[in-house]
Amino acid sequence: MLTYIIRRLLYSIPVLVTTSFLIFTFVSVTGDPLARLRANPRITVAEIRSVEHAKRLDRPVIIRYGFWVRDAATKEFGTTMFGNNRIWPQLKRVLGHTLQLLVTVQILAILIGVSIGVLSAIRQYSLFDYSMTAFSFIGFAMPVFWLALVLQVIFTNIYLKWHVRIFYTARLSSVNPGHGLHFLLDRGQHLALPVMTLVTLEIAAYSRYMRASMLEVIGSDYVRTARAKGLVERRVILKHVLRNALIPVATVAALGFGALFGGAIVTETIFTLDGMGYYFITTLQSSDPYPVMAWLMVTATMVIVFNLIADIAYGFLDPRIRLG
Amino acid sequence: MRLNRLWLIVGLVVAALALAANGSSGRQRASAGGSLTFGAEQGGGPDWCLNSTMSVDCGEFWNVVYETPVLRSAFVLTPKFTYKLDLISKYTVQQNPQRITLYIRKNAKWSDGVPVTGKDFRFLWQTIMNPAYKDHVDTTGWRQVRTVTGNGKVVKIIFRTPFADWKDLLIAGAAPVLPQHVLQGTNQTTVWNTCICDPKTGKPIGDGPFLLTKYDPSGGITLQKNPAGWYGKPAKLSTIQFVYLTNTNTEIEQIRGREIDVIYPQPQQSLSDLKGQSGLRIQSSLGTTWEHIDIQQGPQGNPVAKQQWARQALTLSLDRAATVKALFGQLNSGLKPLNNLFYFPNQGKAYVPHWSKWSYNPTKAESLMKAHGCTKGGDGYYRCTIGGASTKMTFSFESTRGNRLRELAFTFLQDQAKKAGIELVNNFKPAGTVFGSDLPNHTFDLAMYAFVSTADPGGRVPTYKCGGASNFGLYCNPKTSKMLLQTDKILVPTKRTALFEKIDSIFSNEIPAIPLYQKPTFLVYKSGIKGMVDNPNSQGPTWNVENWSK
Repeated sequence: MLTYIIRRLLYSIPVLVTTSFLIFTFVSVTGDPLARLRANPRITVAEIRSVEHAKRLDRPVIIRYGFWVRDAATKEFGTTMFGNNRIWPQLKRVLGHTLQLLVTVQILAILIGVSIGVLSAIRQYSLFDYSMTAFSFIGFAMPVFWLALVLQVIFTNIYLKWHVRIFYTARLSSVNPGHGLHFLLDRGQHLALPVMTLVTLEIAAYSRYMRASMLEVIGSDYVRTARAKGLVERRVILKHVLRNALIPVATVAALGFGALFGGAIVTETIFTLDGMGYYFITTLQSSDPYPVMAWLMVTATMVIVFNLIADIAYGFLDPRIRLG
Repeated sequence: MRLNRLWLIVGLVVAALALAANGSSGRQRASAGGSLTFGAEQGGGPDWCLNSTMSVDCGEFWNVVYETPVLRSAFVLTPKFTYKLDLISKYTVQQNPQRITLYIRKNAKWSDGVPVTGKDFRFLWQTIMNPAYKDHVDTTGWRQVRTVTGNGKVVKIIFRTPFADWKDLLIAGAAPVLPQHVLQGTNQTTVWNTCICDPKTGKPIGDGPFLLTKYDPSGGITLQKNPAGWYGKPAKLSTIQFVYLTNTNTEIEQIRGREIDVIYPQPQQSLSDLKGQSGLRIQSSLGTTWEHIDIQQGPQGNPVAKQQWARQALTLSLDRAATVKALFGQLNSGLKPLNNLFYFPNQGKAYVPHWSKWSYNPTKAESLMKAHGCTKGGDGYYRCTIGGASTKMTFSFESTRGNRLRELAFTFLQDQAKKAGIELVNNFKPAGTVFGSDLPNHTFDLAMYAFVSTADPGGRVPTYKCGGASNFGLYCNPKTSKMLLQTDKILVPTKRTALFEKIDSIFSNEIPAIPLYQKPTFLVYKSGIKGMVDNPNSQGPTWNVENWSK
């Protein structure tokens, strides 16, 4: 197992290096951090050249990439091109906020999605099964940005009609969120709509995976044997079927968690949540490659780590699998 | 049994929602009375910093909005585009050489009790001209200053060469006076990255009605009433909280749902949803960001554009009035095309609409082209013979991709030009390519983008003089170029205005660029808030923050 983990980590290094170089090149070539300066008619060409030289923008991309690698390794990703703000503390902050959102989304999605999948499989072709199938397809088809905007409008209209604020439509906290329980309540009210937005798609996915996995296991010989031995149906489902059906879902959940880290861009932008996705959009708009690269390295690392966790979990859950 | 459990779960959820709703109502009551929440479209990003003197790094519009209540200067730019005296009670101007004498108000002081003096003005000049900051500061105008002197309440600024636009060097929030007694010896690129404070004590500092007491890169910026007072009347509000809302749709839902008190959004069609909403007020004014079309007259553009008659025909083929109405009619019915390249309608008599003679007239456009030997092809577009070669009246039309208003504007303009036999081809590109490559390299036929100007037209000089830094269209008229350089030296406002008008009159015939419209500004706020007056120029809406009340 240890050999397997080490080998996987070593394979990841060239992937990370290649990805980082490609992204750095693309961002550097397509963006112009000095666009705002150039649009100012008062600033002279000489001044712009001077700023270019100071920010190393007049050097070849490969040289600039080298400087970035040096700063990433020795100075915690260095500082932003303008403003001289340290990048790593910003990333830590936004990572924490995204974690709050994603952990909530994943817990809810797994609990609800798995339950729906199990019930759908047990009551295959029932009204419940058909309803949940329809819900899943709607969930898959619904654009995330549309759902986010519709939820904002709905809860704003609820407030306008009944003057009751159930959930907030943007940001992480109120201006004065208080402490302790008040703070938690306030945070919950702010995260409710983004969670609802993301969880819809996740529930649709998990319920379908779970249903398919359950149906595959329910038809197995050992399940028939368990029933033949006289075990209560509930015990058969929970002890024998569910545990085996959860194996593929566990790996999907691990992969999904890693991918969501960089993928909640639309949701975070619409709800103005200070998370990884929102950070990515604002840094991309400023065409500053250094925070973009730092974001990329963190996201790529998350994806690699969770992929690895998914593989290891699979090995633990299924004794037939041996990792080596 | 299962049904009981289900009801229990439903009951718990309802109870939680009720608790949440009650809790939020309580919090709303607590935040009322003397406190205002302002939705801000910029701020808190990775590159964000607070020292607006470092204008290359921290020179965004919202920097000025946040800092005008905190850091003052000689002048405040009013909504009428006039320069109101701020930290100074009067000033004198002498010529040969240009010498400005500023008389600082006796009661102008910093929040720690130290008076604002000439040392602070001198420190500002020294900071801007410090070679260590040359890549962080725009030294326009300041590099023409020979010296700034004054220890007490009188400041003398002597210019090496005349600079008519000198007032723009001393604007509250944008070019504020710095507290020399706390900032001397500090690194200006980092000292005020996350606070406007005394770096030794960490206490907020300012000379305005508010102090910046908290900067939260994820949440927003908090301003609190300056307890030490300032030279002006005390602020009526105790706190102003700026919260970052970079998505305009979200801003609109937030103000609709009364989660915030004020927004100052970019013009969007969706703003029309707020018109007529009870409990909200909207003020709209014409801003100093103005959209225009540059025409390339260099070797890399369409050769026909070098002909004055061709540029005139192009202008006649564009219905600027209808385009403006289509884009903004729902939001601001009074918006008209801009008809002067130097002044805005907001500036009263200074604005002479020289360009109003170019109202939409496709028939006249066609007559003009025919009179110069152009013939209409089978495809409906004209071909003209320039220097022995046949050239089609086709222009590649460049602008920034992803900007919905510009894409819509192009659709209208393309259709209008077609009726006159002129073809506009969509060549929208990423903003980085437009501003970073095509404009400076002059590789375009027509380019539509915005200039962010100040009230003073001096900023247009580099755009229209021969070889000017931002003369992307390579227009060159030695006579007007000479006149433009002269405008920088004339210190008498009326003479200067007259010269600019003379130049604009020439430009309205030679057409180096086509002015389109000023982008309107929108200030949307709850009707219970008093004292708010929209300021559409670069000073922003916080210009009179001391008058705001709830």
